[in-house]
Amino acid sequence: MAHAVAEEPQAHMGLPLPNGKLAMWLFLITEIMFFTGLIGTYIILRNGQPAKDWPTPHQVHLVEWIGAFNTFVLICSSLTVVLAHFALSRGEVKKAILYITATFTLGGVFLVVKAYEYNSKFQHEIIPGHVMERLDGPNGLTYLEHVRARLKQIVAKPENYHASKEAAADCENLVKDMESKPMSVDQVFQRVQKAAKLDDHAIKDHIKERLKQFVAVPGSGSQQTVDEAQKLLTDMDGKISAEEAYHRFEELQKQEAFKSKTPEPLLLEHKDLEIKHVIPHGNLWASCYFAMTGFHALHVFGGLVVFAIILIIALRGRFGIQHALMVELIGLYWHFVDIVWIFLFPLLYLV
Amino acid sequence: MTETHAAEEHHGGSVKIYLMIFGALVIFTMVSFVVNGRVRAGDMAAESGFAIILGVAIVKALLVAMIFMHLKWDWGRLYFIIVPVVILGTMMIIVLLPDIVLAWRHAVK
Repeated sequence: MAHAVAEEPQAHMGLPLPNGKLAMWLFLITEIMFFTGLIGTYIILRNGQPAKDWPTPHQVHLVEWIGAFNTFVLICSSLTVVLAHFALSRGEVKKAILYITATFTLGGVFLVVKAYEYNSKFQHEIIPGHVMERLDGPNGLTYLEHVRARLKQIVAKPENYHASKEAAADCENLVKDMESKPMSVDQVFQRVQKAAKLDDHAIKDHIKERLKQFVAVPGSGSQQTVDEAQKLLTDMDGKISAEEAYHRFEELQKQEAFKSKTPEPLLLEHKDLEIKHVIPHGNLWASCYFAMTGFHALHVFGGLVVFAIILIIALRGRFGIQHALMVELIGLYWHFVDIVWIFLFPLLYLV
Repeated sequence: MTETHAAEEHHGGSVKIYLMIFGALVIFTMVSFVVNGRVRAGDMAAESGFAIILGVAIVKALLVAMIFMHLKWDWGRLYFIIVPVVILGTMMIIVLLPDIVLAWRHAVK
């Protein structure tokens, strides 16, 4: 009897696992389903059309190395949080606090980099609902009207637009083509792009001429204006694009002393034409991107809140080995957030 | 109580293991970044690049889960909640494939 009793396991309630750990894992598996919903939808939608119809990272201003850097930041923070728990379970409280601070900081760095990325999307208007996806929608028709009207103006008086001979000829041909045969918006768009390129030289020449005149006879121009004009003149001999030159010239135009007729850029993607870059399925991409990374960032923020609470407890001098389980549990959450990013990074930035 | 816990090994890894896993994670991240560069430059086929990158991601996730999240030691106590969820998650994506992903490929033919 005695040996049987010694080997029989004692009956006890529940798992040989702290309650908190089981609870955290139950929560994490619901998070698995949450992110599977988002990421799975993205995978399905992405593969639901030909590869050429999905934006490339370049088109949506996604920079791969920034994503890789963020991955590295989160991996480091995963290491520091696990070392924090390791230190705390051995009673090395100060070390643990240092590691928690490091984790908190790294999480903050991740969010700052994310904010920078989001800002670049906003600046380029890559927001769900704001991306021009196809030229054969309402935007496309508006574009065609603009092009038709502008072409007619140019063909009527080419000298007003400082059009080079080739560009003017190209415009005339395009008008004839648009009126004689059915052209798709896509085809018109291609031809316009071509015409715009030809005109870069003409615009730059005109701007240079006007700047030289001003610098020679500044009139009532302030020294600052003259200096700006001189700087632009010097830059124009270098590698400045026609568009940039035009914008800087426009800025100078605003100054009283610099009265001149603004050369109208010939079909450049100028603000009065309101042409945005065409990004196929850009709105869908933007929705997926912001949904996935947005929720992930919110989860990161939630983790940072808990780390902040731990640091406040530490500041009050009440942090100790009794918090080992707490640190382990927030560590579990943090690792999960890291795993989600490990999948998000390749799916969004790489493949 | 003590008999049941006597059989438990010491919970968790050592600093050395954590640092090794960290090193592996960093190396894998660089691998996927480099492979991506090669695919974009045209040196590598998109399919093989995709396979390597996704494979690397899965390995990284497994390393974090097994070692950092202590699943290597806790698996016996947790598998029964994790396994069904992973199956459900995968199936959720697979069941949507025929309607959305595979349908247009047939239509194009």
